[in-house]
Amino acid sequence: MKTTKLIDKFQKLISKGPEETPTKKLCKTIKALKDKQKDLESRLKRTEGKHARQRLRQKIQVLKAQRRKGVELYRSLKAAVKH
Amino acid sequence: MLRRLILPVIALVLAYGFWVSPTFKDIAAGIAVFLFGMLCMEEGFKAFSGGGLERLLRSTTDRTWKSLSFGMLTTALMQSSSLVSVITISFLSAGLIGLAAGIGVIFGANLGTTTGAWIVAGFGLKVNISAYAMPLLVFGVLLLFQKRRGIKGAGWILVGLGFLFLGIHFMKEGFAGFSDQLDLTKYAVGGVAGLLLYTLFGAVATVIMQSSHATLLLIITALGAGQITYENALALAIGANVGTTITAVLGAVGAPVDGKRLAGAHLAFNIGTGLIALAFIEPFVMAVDAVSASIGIRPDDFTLKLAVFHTLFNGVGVLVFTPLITPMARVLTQTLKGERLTHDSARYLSEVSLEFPDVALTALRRETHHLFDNAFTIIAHGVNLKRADITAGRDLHELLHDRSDVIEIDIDQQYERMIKDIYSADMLFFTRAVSAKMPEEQANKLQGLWQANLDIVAAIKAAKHLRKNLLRYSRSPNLFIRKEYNRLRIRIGELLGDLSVLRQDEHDAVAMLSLDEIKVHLADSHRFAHQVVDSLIRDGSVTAQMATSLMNDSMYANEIMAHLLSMAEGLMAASIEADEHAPDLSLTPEEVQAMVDEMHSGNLDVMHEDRSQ
Repeated sequence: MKTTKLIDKFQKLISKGPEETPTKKLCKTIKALKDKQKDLESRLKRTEGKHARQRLRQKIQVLKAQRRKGVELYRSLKAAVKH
Repeated sequence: MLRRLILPVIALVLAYGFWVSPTFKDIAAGIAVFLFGMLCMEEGFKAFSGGGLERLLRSTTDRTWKSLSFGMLTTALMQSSSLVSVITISFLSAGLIGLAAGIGVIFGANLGTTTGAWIVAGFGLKVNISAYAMPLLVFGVLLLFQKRRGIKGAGWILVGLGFLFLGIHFMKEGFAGFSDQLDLTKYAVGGVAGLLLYTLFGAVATVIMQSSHATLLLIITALGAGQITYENALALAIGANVGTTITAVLGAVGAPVDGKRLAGAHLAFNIGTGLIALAFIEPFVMAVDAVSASIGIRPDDFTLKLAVFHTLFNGVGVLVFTPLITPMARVLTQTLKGERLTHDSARYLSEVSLEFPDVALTALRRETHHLFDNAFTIIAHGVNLKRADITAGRDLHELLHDRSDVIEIDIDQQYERMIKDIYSADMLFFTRAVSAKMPEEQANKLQGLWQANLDIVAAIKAAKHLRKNLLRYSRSPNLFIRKEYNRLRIRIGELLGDLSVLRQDEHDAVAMLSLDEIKVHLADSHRFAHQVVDSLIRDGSVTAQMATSLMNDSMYANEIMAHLLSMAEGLMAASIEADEHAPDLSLTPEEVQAMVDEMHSGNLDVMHEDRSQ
């Protein structure tokens, strides 16, 4: 292992400690979005009001788009780590 | 007048002392260096107050025993009960902890401060402490030249420790030289009179030096040099405890009501403990002898026995007063009330909060929430909506056709009463907070909160403009114009409702991302309303005057909503950690627009079913 890499790893160890890595944090956020989406979908099944249903659908669409962005970001982060 | 005279008189007395006695100079320099060391340590510990402080505090003060331990450990570590008191008052004022938890911390700090006596008596007087001071100062200064805040903080702590040790050394030397010239034990006073007199001396010395730690150091070094008797030293130690309360009370004079309550508890504890120690001095002395013998302290080692006494009587105080924390908090809350004001004022901002970047940020965030709470009512009433209808989740679309009930409100007057003082206090607090040194992350978040405050005020002003025509047209016999004005009311009400729900959620990345859906909903409603207005004008359903009013007022409504959304973004950004991915996952304005286009192009046609009713 090169000295610079070793120092880099050591610095990461000191500065970050046992905290979560960025990818883990991102995974957690994507999972939370998915859980929220599932919750909204089950609420949509139970909801009858026109406007309420409309809002729920809108919320679900936005969550799907955010999750898509999250997955793309996760892939790019993983690829950056590999390189 | 008297206050103005104190400083010159003390300076003159000191100057005279320096002139007549070189050893007095050593003792006074020792105290000055010791106090400077404490200041350096305080500076160093402040550097570590950024990041996670709120979380740590919440988890360490939720039970009485935890807050006691927190106070004890932090004071033992920082060797400054006054810094712990200041931190506690700032946390309390910012609403981070409750009064009972704050009292627990203060009681614990009293016990923690006794470690100082042990360090001085057990270590400072037994070894050549200056030998440790020099390397500490050298390493400390070396770290002070580093750029990173944490390393700099460690540097201040090392320099502080170095100066503390150096101060102890100077005082030890001073008293050693003093004993050759003068024997102060000739002035020793025995019996009850001596006890009371020296308690008073201890209290006065602490008020002058503003530090019970420095007084204790003075007592222990004087006792070690044989300049005062053991009995008088005990009374001086009790006096030092009482004196430190006077410092806290003086400090609380200009503090918010929470600070006054905490100072009240501190006063009750220290005076109560002092009275117990004075009343039961004989049993205490016997207990000190017994404890000292059991832990191997020689009967003639009076400095360590003084440390035992100090710990013992403060420990008894904690035992006696801890069960009284909850009733004490209740009584203090009932007796010391905040000023009754006709104008709502800032609740969480205080001078002491400015000392710690994290606390300053939390205080301003809470105050901005407070401002939004008031603005919520003004804006809701401004568009003739009841707060309860919005927060209870009532389907506001039921109001679409109805003639609105007028809610009487003078927005200008309400602005003066509910907004202006808080807004001014927030702005002043922000200016002072950013002028102090703080990490970039916190400074950016403060900037976001400043913007949130501006947004709230701008939203209220737009609500005032909107109200004029809204009062007229939301009760108009013309159903078309009435419906459009009601639609504006509904959109604003829905947004207020959404924001109040978001506030109840945990302030995490997901909550921040929820704002995207609100943006999409607003953009969608805006486009829909625009189309409706166009068709109304084309069909001649509304007069030209009505149409221009509606177009202008739609702009005001959009302004209100845009400012409220921007405010929510500022508040959310101040709550989440810097390395969260929420901003990366959030939809860009183009993506929001694309989603709205998709809805209108028919892909989500089902969403618009029967929307034009």
